[in-house]
Amino acid sequence: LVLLITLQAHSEVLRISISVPGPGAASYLPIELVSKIGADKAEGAELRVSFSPGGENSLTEMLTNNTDFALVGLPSAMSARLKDPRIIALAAINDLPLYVLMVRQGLIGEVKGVADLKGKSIGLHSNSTTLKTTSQQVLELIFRRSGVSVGSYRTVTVGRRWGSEPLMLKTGTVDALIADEPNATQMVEDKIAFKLLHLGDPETMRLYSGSGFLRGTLIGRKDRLESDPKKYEIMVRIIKRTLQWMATHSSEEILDKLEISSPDKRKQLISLFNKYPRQYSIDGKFSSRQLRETEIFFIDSQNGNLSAEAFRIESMVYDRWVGRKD
Amino acid sequence: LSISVNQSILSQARYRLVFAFLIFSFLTILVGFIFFKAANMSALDNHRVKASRHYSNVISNLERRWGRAAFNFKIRIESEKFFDGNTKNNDRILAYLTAQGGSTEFPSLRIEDVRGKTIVSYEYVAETLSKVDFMLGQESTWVINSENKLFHVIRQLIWLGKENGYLLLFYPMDNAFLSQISYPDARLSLWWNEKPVASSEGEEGLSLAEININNMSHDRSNFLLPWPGVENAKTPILFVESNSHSLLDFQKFAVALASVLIIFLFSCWSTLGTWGLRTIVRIQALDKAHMNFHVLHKVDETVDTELEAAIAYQNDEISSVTLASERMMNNIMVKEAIN
Repeated sequence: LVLLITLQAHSEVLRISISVPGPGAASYLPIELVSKIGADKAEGAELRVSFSPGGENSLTEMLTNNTDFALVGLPSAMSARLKDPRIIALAAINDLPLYVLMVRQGLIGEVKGVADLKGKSIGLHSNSTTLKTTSQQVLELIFRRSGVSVGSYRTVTVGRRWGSEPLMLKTGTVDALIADEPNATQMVEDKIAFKLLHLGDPETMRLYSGSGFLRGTLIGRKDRLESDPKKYEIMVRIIKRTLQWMATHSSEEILDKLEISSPDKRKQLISLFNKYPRQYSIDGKFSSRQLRETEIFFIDSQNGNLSAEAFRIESMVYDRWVGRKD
Repeated sequence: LSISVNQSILSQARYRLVFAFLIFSFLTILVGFIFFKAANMSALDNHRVKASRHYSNVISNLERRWGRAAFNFKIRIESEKFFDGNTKNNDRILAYLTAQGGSTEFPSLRIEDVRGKTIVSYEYVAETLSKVDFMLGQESTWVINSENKLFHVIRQLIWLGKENGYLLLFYPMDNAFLSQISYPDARLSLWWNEKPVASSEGEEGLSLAEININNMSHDRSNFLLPWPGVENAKTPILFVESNSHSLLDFQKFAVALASVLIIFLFSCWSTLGTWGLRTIVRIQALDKAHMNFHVLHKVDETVDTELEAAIAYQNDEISSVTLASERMMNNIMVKEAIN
């Protein structure tokens, strides 16, 4: 009887899959934490995480049925939504977007500001002309505001893997790229690159209005939501549970759960958590103010794209389960 | 002489009509049902044959496309001369592959020397690649990793500066791949070792395929298509579930059949039924005229009325018999008056 009950319980576990850029990107750590703290099991589910080289790939994985959900920057999902009305936003994962513009070490002294990157090779986590990843939108906005137009530099695809960004800078394939933390700090310590601009710095945020946009967002499909609303509700509950756990536990406890034992990596992440306590959402709720800022950022970064200008973010936000705040 | 009601021509006609209609209805329903089954089975068989032919062509086209892409990719790598010279610089080839992004057909690859030692391993998407064994003369094979992900692996010779090595290109046979080759109202799943590894409908599709493959004998539109390969080599099996609707919908067919029966009944009644009833009423009137004459022994008004009803302005055999009867009655009356 016990065996039968166990088998029955096992067969009723809801299998959920999600594609996330990474692994190891600090912005998306909550997803890597889900199964470690048992947030999925607590909701009667089992979450499978698959990593991709960038937001565009994660969205493609979701749209082609390889995964149920994607965790990507909201501006990237908005760009995809212009071409595919199935895409919807379900919960906020991040609060503060942390992007770092890194320049390869060999250009220290030569490149002192963004304007000096004119004519250089710039790495993007993008490989599509139909969709702009969030990092690409950030990069284009920063460059344009600094007087560097889109046609005045060369773009090269770089993967979002621990090894690929340093490799592309080290080999000189790219001169600069938009990186994530803690990879950016690691590259500085390894003397591969230096930080030219950090989006999380208050001074940068003041200079580049709209840079307080919503980044990491749980993305789903409208058609799947209609056919299986239970799975969607459970996934949102898993995310809320994880974010609430993070908000009530120390950085050390989070890193312990993530089984990060390397002292250097722990130091980098603890420093990052302490420096940017607003990095993660505490409840998954959408902020009306941040959504407005994201819309402004998206329209501004798309520069002249008429369909982007006509697009309204509210059309893709589905806040039934997470709720809304100001 | 009197005739009881249950032997009357009217009740006989009624029973026969009802019986004829029941036989006709039964045979019509039986033939209709046989036709319904045969038409649907024929349509499903036809659909299955077409779908099987379609997916056989799709597989052939894919094999050709992968072969072409693999060859071109090998030529591009060789033309960059990463392996020329004495020092091997794997960073250069890895940077080159990273910059290609997702633009190649194969998101993962491995370059090995002829002894099977890995020289370069590259995964565009984080994958765990297993060791691959090839049979003699085999150019492509299949491998499944620890995460239950199946890859189609294409192997070809690549020049490594001083000698040839092998370039192994991995194509993921995942849900996305099956979604791209499926068409509406069809669910595809790929099976390896009698277990589904990918479905065109994602995780839900895998669970449904597992249930439906056991009931395949009940559904003529579903079929299995083994992936072609070298003889004796293991290949995956494509399970095609067609959700195509039957040629004839049962409800609609039943309504159509009932309509045919009602129309037939109405036609029979309006042509044969009313005529037969009128004829029987005339025969009954003639019978009644005889009965009255027998009781009264005279041709009075009631007998006349019944005889007129039997003739009913018709010029047929009943009218002839009625007129003959009337003459006979008059003759009897004349004879009785003389006597």
